[in-house]
Order: sequence, then C-alpha cells, then structure tokens
Amino acid sequence: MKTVTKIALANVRQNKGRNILCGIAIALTTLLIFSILTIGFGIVHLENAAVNAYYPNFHVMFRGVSEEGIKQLKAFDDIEKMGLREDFGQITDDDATMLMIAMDSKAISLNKQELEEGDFPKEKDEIVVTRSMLAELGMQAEIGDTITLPYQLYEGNMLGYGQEDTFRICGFAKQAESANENKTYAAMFAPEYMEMMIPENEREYRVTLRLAASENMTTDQIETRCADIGTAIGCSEHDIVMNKQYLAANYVDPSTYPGIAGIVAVVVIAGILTIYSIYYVSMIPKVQEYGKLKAMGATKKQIRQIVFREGMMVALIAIPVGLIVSSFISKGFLMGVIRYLNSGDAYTQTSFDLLNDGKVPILLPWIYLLAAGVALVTVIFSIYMPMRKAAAISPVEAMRYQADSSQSRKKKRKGYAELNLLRLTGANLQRNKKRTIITVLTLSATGIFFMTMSHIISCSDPVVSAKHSIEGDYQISIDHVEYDKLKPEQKWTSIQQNNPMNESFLEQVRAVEGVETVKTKSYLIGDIEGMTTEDGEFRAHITGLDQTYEKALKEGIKEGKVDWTELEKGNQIIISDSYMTYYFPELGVGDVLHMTLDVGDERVEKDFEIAALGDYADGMTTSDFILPKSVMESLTSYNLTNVCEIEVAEDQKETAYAALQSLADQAGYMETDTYEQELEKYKKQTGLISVMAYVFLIILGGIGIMNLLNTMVSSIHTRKRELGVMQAIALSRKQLIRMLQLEGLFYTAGVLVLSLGLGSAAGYGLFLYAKAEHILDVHYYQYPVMQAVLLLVVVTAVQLALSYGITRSFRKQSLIDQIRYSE
Amino acid sequence: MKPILETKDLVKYYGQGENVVRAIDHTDIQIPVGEFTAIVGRSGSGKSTLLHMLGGLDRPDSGKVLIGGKDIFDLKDEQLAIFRRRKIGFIFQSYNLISSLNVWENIVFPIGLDGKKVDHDFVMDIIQRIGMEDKIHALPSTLSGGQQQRVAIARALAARPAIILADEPTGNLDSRTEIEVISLLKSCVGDYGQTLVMITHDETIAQMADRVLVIEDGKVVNS
Repeated sequence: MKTVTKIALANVRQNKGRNILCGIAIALTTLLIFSILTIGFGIVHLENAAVNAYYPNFHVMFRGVSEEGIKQLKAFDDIEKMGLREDFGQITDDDATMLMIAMDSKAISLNKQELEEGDFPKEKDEIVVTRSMLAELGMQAEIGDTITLPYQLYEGNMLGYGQEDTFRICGFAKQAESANENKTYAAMFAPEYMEMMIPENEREYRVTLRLAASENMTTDQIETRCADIGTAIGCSEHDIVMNKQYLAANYVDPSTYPGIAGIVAVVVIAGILTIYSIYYVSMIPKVQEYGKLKAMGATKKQIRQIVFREGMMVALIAIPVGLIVSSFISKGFLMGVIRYLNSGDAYTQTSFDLLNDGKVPILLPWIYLLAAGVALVTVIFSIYMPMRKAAAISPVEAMRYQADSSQSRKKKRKGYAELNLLRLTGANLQRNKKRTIITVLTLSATGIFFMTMSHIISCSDPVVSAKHSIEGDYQISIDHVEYDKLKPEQKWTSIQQNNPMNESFLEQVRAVEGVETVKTKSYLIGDIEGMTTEDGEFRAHITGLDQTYEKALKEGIKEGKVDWTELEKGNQIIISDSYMTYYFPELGVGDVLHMTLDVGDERVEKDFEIAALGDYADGMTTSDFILPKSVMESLTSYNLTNVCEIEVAEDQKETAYAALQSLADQAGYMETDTYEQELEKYKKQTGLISVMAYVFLIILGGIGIMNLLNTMVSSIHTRKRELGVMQAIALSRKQLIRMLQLEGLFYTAGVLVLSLGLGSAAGYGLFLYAKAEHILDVHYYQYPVMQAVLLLVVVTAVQLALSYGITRSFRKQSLIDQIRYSE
Repeated sequence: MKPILETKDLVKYYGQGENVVRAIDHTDIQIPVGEFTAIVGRSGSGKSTLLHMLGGLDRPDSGKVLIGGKDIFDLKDEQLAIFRRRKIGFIFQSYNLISSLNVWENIVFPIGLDGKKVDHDFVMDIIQRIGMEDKIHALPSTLSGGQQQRVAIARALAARPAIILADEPTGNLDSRTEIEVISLLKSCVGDYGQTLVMITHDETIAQMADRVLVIEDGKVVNS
C-alpha cells in the first residue's frame, strides 16, 4: 500500500503543471459551490432574522376573546407565546379617534411596540401617549407630568357615560404617519387599570399569539392551525385575523432551495467537465507509464488507486484553499449586497445591523462540510473515467502506444495532393474529431451560459422597466386596503363614498406649477359568476380608461377587436392581463361574463361580452379587465376615480413633485410614485442581479479558462516530439507558431460561434419564457451587444495570451530535446 | 573531390566540471559529393550529436559545419530551417511520420511547407520504388515498421536534398527488412546523385558504405 501512495505522490510532483491547473479548477469549483450556498442561505436567514426583528411577529390575532376563552387558549401546548390587549374605551375628542388600550408585556413584545422614550405603564395611574395626540388635544406635557383626560368606556358595542381621570405620563410612543393622517391615536394604560375599570365578564381581549416550532411550518400550515385554534375557542371567522404582513415577509419562496440547488448543479457539471477534461487530456502521455507499471506487476486495483490518490492529494489541498478564499469572498459579498440594498428604510437598516453585528451567522459549519463534500464528489466523478481507463491499459498495448494514433480508428485519409499550413492544421484537428468536438463543446459551455444570462440582464433594462411600470412622471393613487379587517374604512367601496380624489382635488393638482397633463383612471372590484381559483374566490379588478387610451388599447390587442363606440355601449369588456388566460384558459373572445360589482354598499349585476384580449404595460393598468370610464361611471353616482397620472415639465419637476406630495398628504388615503423612484428601484434590482450573475460567470469562466489552458498546453505537450520532427524536416519556427495559432484560432472561433449562436438562441428562448411568466420585469427584447463584445474580447485575449506563452516556452527548448522526448 | 560536407574543429560539450561529456571533441571530417558514409561507434560515443550538428538541428559550442563551403551556423534560426528543408533530408530511427497525415502527404510535407509545387511524377516514381503505390492514402498507424521507414526514406528524398542524414534507420527493423531498406536507400541516393551519411551499429551495413568513420569519445579515430 505504501508503494502505491508513494507513486501517487511522485506523480503529483511529476505532473506539476497538470495538477496546478486541476487544483485551480477544483478550488474555483469549491469556491463557487461554497459562495452560492453561503450567499443563498445567508440571504434567506438574514431575511428571516430581519423580519422577526422588524415586524410584529405574532401569527394570528383573535378578537373578542373572553376570560373563559383565554383559559381555553392556555390549554393548547403548541402556542409559544400569547399576549393580551384590551381596547376598553375612547378618549373624548371632537374629530379624532383616540383609543384606550391596555397590553400585557407579551403583547407588547409580540406587537414589537417600542417607545420613543420612557417606560410602558405599570401603575394604575400611568399612561403612554404620542406627542401628536397631545398636540391634537391641545396639551403640552413631558414625562412625569400629569394630564387630565375625558373618556368614555366601552359597554358592549356602545360607549358609556363620559368620565374624567388624571394620569401621569410615563412614556411616549412612536406615532405611525398613516395614523396621523387618519387622526387615529392610541393611549396605553396599565392592564391593572383596565382590570379595575372593566368587569371580568365584559372584557373582550384581542389575543395575539405565536405558534411553537413555526420555523418548520409552511405559511399555509400556520394559517390552518391558527384558524383551527380560533374556531376551537369559538371565534367567528371575522374575528380571526392573520398577521398577513409578517407571514408574507416570512414566506420563503418554495423555489428558493431548488434554485440554489440548480445553480450548484451547473457549477458541479462545469467542474466535472473541466477536471475530467484535464485528467483525460493529460492521461494520454502517461499511458506508457501505467503500462510499464502493469508489466512490472501492478494490479488493476493498484493502478486505479495510484490515479485516484493522485487526484485526492490535489483535492485535499485545493478544496481547503477554495473554502478559505470563499469564506472571505462570500461574507464580503453579502455585506456589499446589503449595503447596496440599504436604501435607508428601517427594514433594510435592520438587516444591515443584524449582519454587521454578527447576529446572523453567515459562515455555517454545515455549508463547509456540504461544499467540501460536493467538491470531493465532483473530483471523484471527474477522475472515475480516467482511473478506469488507466487500469484497463494492457502492458503490451501500452508499450506500443503512440500518443495520437490509438485515439483514432481511421485507417485511411483522403488527404490533399499538395500540403500547406492550413491543410496541415486541418489534419491535426481532424486527427481525433470526437475529442476536438468535445473540447469545443466543453469550452463553449461557459460562453453559452454567459450569453444566455446576459440576455436576461440586457432585457431587464431599468429604463424600460420603469417606463413600463408608470405611465407619466408622477402618479397619485388611492391607498385602499381590501383584506385588512382592522381597516374597514380603507376598503375601496368605503372610500368611493367619500373619495378624496374628487374634482376639487384634481383642480388643485392641475393648478400646481409645472403640471402639464392630468389623466384619471377609475377602478372597480367584483365577482364573476362561476369563476374561482385554487385560492378560493376570484376577485375581478377592472380599470376604467377614457378615450385617450384608445390607440394604446388597440396596440396591445392580441386577440379580438377594439371598437370604442361599441365598448361605450357598455356591453363589452377587454381582458387586460395574461394571468387571466393563464388561470382561465377556457376564456375567449365572444364569451359572456356575468359580473357582480361592488359599488358603495351595493352590488350591481351586469353581463359583459369579452371583446378582446390584450397585453398592457403595468403603468397603464394592473387590473384584469378594462372598461371605458364612462361605462363604469354610469353604474353608480359614487366617485370611482382612483389614479391620476401626471406629466410634469422637465425643469419644474422638483418643485412640482413637492407640491403634489403635499396635496396627496393633505387629502389622506393617497399614495404617490414617480418615474424617478421606479427607475431607481429597477436600477437597484437589476444592478444587484447583474453583479451577482457576472461574478458567478466570471468564476465559472475562470474554470473554463483552466480547461482551455489545459487543452492547449497538453495538445502541444503530447505532440512535442512530432512538432520537433516537423521542425527538423520542414517547418520553420514561424510556421510552427502560425500552425499552433491556427489551431487555437479554430478553438476560439468554435467557442465564439457556439457561444454567440447557441447562447443567443437560448437567451432569446429565456427572454420569451421570462416575458410570458413575468420574471424580472422583462418586456422588450434587447440584444446584449456589450456582453457579446466582452465575450469576444476576453476569449480572443485569452487565446492570444496562450499563444504567446506557448511560443515563448517553445523558444526555450532545443529541437533535439523535443525529438528525443519520450524516446 | 571537393567535399560537400565538412566540419572544422567542431566542439560540443554537455554538462560541466567533472561531469562534462565531450560529445564532439575538435572533430574535422570531410564528406565528398555522392559518397555513402557510415558512422559507427559505441553508444554515447557522440555519433548522434555529430549527425545533429551536420544537419543543423543543434548548434555547436565552437567550430564550423560547412555545406557546399558555406557555414550553416552563420544562418539565423529561420534561415537555417529553410536551408534544412531544401538541402537536407532526415531519416530517424523511429520513423517519425506525422500520424495525422496519410502516406502521400507525409512524403510531400517538406515540399508543401516550402511553398513549392510538388513534382507529381518524381514523387510517384519514388513511391513506386518503395513499393507503396497502393497505400498512398493509408495512415501511418496502419503500416508495419518496414513500410513506415520506407515512407520516411521517400520523404527524405522527395524534396531532392543534396544530403541525406540517417540516424540508425534500420535500428527497429528485423535483419531481412534491414538489408532491403538499406539497398533501397543506397540505390535511390545513387540514382538521384545525393550524398548519404548514416549512423549504424551494424557491421554488414557499414560494409555496404563507401567509407566508414569510427567515432570514440567525440573524436574520429579511423576513416
């Protein structure tokens, strides 16, 4: 056994060049595997940690739970934490709503309640208020001061008689901006105070709770379990409120892990191709030696062991090197990503702090083990074939073996009557067609991958995406909330009845200096008879447009016809989103939909015939259907306007934006967006993806270059003697170098043709797929010219550098040494 | 007769100090046009080094190699390569055919790379003499040792060089094939008026030569 190891060790030293290349390829492969796993899981873990640190982290809230219900809840053993909140009255004020609430310490922590300063109330006479609430009440006070407040306690569904009490301020709460707009405030009292004021049988708690071991549950499982618990204690469906925001933020895309696995698989395949190719190519000149070993009595098993151990020795050095280097790279890269994403909002700031303070471990032991294991398996896979091949060599064959001849089974060659350099090069390449093709293919793999990815990056141009997502320069839209049972007043049907986006508001908007045009869109939500999705009820969203959109509507038509006069008669509708046909493939032009539309507190029934199917920019509509605005307005007297699109003069944007923002703020229930914000958002998004993709491709390219280097070097190494003979009898050195360059040129051209050809074809395919599936906001095809040129330049440069290096190494050797080689 | 090939005080040492090997030690030889010279000597006596110097494959430490009165080492590498493919034909012990080219291409290889037109009839004539006319499309790996060496001879002759240098051309062949190949070589050289210098171990072959040079420790001891 010892001899086998010794021979393997001697081989490591002897095949230094090959093993260095191989080592680099293994280290790069390890580096990629480790970095992908670390960055992938790092982002997932960081996201989780940030979500937990930032959002209230209860899963569900039950409303109207009695003391009896609380006792029942305590019996469940899969509840990790449960907090109680009681809203027990209102402070009397003429126009604002000021709730009186009491929360126990668990509720405070589950709701992530934080104070601006001071402490939470503990004594019966303590109170926490917000500064804006004091201002609303026309009071001025600091911590320690006492205030006297008039209030009414809840008695059933009513407010009781007015009372008055004096409290000492123990802290100030942070005030959410939206609450200021809506004039909704809350004052917090000690639970003891509430208990004193409200008899036990009248208490109706809001219970917030978090399930145990939820890390291993899917969002659906959590929701189902919470609903079960709520039902068990007698809560109605209406009183079971999921913490949607937290659940959604905590939601891990089920494709994340397969995605990471997929990328690792690509790396492993590239690694296997490269390492295998390095071994395969460099095995050829060693055949005689393995034959001799066999002739001297080495068994097949021993030969296999020699090859295997040589590979393992290299891997044992290369893998740790890869892991160490990637430890630094991954962590630095992740920090960079978060810093890049850190737009200053509280959530990304939280992520950044967590990472910076080392609260989320990024370099995980299991990733080290897994990456090392996968890299090792890659190496074993790669040397398996060469190992078998070496072991299968018969001693007799090996002695007779001539480097090149055994590769080809061809007996004859038609050839040329007259030879020249080009024909000679052609003959060299044809010597082993299979190997030449495999080499070009493996070398091209990275290039094809590069071009494919580049297409997506090129097609997700932030300018295009921004223009697609917002119609004008400035957009004001109604901030309606449909599925939050806590905010019924913010439902679209409620807002319609007293819509702040009314004519006087629009007048004010038009009056802002710099505003050029203002267009409005209206909006309705409804049901369609007989249509449901997997998630349950399908809600149809309809946008109303005026005739100025007629041209754009026609341009986006994929099926059917748009005739504005017909549409205005009110019997036809346009399907505006490809998701509709994805979920309901049976829908087609001419079908009649029976719709029930929510208008104010009523429901209006109407039949519409599908006039056309179209595909429209998100800036125009994100709804499922389009109707003329006039048709929508004829259904109700309520104001259905929910978006206004504003064009602003280029030189007055700054002042106009500020004026529009303050108009929207004053009106309430409105949100704003600008083209510039959208552009910034997409720039960040695509910028990050591009950087990550290119770093990945550069390392993958590095592996590819190792392959190219090895192919070129060993194709010369194995032919050293033949090249020497050629020089002795005919070739001048210039001709020899030109011949080698021509060979290189063939590989370069092959790689470029395949990469640009197949890569572009695959890229176009991916573009069509991404467009159909709405991935990465890909809308329009843009050929990645820059990237293609970059590929061309890099491949050519590598080839030139290789030719130069080879030429130099040739100059150093005497002809006699070359001819004598391997004799 | 005027020598076509001549060395003057040729020296080539390998190694340094005590380990120095005097491969060629102040050697002067003259080989006249059209003569068949055999170089004999023990292994390591410096025969091959001498042949390489004569063919301009390696540069000497000092001294001259004159071909047709001209010192070939005055030429630069590039010029030397061109001179070599025009004036000298090599035949190696291990044939050294180019495996990716067929028999015909191997033979015309030096002519093509010199940018010259192939004299079809002349090459066919050589191929007929070596008896390979039905194998011109065969690849070298399909040929026997004797056949391969005959192709190598044809290659050396095809460009009509003035001098043929052969380094133990029959070393890998059995004795019957050996005599055949040498006879062929000798008759071709005679017919085309070329000068042949051949290294050999074999007494029989040495006796077929016009002249025999015996080399010992880098020196010509008998001629």
